[in-house]
Amino acid sequence: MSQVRRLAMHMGLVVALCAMLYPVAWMISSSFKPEAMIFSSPGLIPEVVTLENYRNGWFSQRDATFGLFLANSFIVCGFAIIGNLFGASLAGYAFARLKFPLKRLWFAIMLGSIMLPIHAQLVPQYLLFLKLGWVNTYLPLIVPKFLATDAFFVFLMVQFMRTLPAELEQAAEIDGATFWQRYWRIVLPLSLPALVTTAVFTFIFTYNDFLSQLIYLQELKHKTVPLGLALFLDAGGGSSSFGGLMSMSVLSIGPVLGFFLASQRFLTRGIATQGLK
Amino acid sequence: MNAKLNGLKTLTSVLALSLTGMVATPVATAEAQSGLSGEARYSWWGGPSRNEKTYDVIELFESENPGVSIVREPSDWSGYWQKVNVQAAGSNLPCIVQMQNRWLANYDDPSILLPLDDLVASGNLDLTGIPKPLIDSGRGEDGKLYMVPTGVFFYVMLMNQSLAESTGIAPFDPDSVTWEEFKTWLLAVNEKLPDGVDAAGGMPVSPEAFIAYVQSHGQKVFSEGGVGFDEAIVTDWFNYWEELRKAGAAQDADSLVEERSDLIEESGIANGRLVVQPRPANRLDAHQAVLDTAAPGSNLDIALYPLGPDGAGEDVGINGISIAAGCEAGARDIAVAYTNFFLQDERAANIYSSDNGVVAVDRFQEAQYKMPDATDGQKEQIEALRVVSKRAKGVFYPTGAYQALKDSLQSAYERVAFGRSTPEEAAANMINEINRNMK
Repeated sequence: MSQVRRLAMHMGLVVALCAMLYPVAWMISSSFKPEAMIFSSPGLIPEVVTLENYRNGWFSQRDATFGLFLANSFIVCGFAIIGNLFGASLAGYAFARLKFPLKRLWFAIMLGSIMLPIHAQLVPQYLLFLKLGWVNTYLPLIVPKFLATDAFFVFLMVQFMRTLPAELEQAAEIDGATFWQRYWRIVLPLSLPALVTTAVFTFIFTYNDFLSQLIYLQELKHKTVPLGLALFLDAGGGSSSFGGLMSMSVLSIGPVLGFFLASQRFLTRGIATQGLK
Repeated sequence: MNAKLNGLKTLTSVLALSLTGMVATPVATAEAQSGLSGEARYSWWGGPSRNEKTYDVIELFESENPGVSIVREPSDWSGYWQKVNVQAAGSNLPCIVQMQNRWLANYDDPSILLPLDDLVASGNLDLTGIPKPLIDSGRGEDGKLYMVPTGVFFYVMLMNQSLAESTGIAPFDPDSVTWEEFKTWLLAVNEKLPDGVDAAGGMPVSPEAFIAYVQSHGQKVFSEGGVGFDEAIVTDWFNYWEELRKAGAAQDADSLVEERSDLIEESGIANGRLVVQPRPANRLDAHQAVLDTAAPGSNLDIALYPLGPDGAGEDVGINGISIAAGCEAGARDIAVAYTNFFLQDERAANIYSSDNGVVAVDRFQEAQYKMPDATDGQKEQIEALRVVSKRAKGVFYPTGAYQALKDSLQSAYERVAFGRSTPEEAAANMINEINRNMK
């Protein structure tokens, strides 16, 4: 009976998996179809296979290849990851371990900022960065990360660091370790699972972010993957290039998938380690 | 706003004059201004095809103005307005901003866009050959000129002639068909259509079709601070389409929701699933290209909206160029020179080839119609404009009005089609919602 239930469960999971993977499979299949057949022959198996969409998509913009958009995305994501690891871990350590005036109030404000919708912040932030002369550069997308403005990740770090044994730090303190040494040599290495989680999700969030990048990156040479993909569409009733969109979307999911697969081992290990404690 | 509305009333007659060559045309195109240097930012919306044409125009302009650089800032349609909103809030709009009269009221302020009247009066901005009503449609509520028109767009019903003819039902007279006759025709055609094909789609939720219906029944679309039509006309509109939907002659509720996008490739008309669908006239060729693959041999045509007791009711829209108020002097000169070039240089007009609405300068309309490589779609939209320009009724869109109408019409009719509201309830809710959103 239990085997039957298990079989049924697995079959259910396989069906759910197929349903979730179908749009991805359709996208991949469509990327190899002649553009005109994407909607006229919407089946999964292409009747005619072509690489034209990849060539056209890659060179769709006269002054920039799609490779430039990918490179720009990597630059933004790379610095965003470094910034979040630096800022969130420091802020998290402060909230988790240090004593300072009005700590609970600051913590509550920090948590409250998670609930502030991005649209409410958009214009004030834009004005601020405009005054700083940072618009049309990557700085508005990167610098705030170093200042621990992603409250979600700060909260993640706080919660994780609170689970670390305080005795380890007390022992280091007795040996004369400063705040910085305790942070750098004790807390940070032990927080690897939380750091990896932060890095993975920062990459995914930043790589997929459309609105902020749309607002701050004006010129074609600065555009990133989400903005580059949007250039294939004209929802205003004009002509779109779905072949280019599908092919470049296939290329675009590669880095996210690769990054997630590469870091999945650390994520799993981190969760397992936590479970043993 | 009244002055503006009055001005719009004369739009069609002068458009007609321009199309018949009665507006004075210049002898020579505007020459590229010399002595310019520096750069100016230019943002526009569009897909790959329009981007290519725009790049070509820019490169031609730059080649004739050494030392001048146009910073390209292309965007897709929806992202464009999000970006422009934030840039306007920060006084950081590009010097050259593509604009549409439906959205102009959001930006018609001297602190956001440069009033262009002085530049026109001094002759620096050359609007030769553009009919005055078109120019006036680029004015804000304060009467100042904030946008110069580059293209005239209007919605029509794209019709799959091949499908319609295959039913054996006699075609309707596109110049004189009334809404009631059109309904009868759809019901008759529907009886003969193959499975999976509907006679009409997208009409009940199309703001343009609704506007045509409202104005053809003698009502205004917008008035001071709210809508200008009453609940009865909205109820009539919903009942009209409910009768067709229940008879199977119009898309069912599920299909209507599935096809919310304006993307050509997803549209029922371009994929041979509909006989009639409201779309912009300037996209006929693009729809035909998709249909050539989806249903080879099928032919699309343009049909104007039916007439009501008050005649025709369609609106024409204007795409154009604005200059940002924050644009510095040197860049402003470049923006003016580029606008002149875009408007008055025949090569630029031919490169762009009415991609975003029929070219606004009258002499180029005729020239493009007679070009040997003019497509059937280009010719048909110019022919359709000749008729529309004589009968259309211009609409002034107050701030946020178009989007409010579009969103509320869609949700109201969907509630009716799914049986969650009666047409009367949906009509009352729709009007309240639009009025609330416009405040």
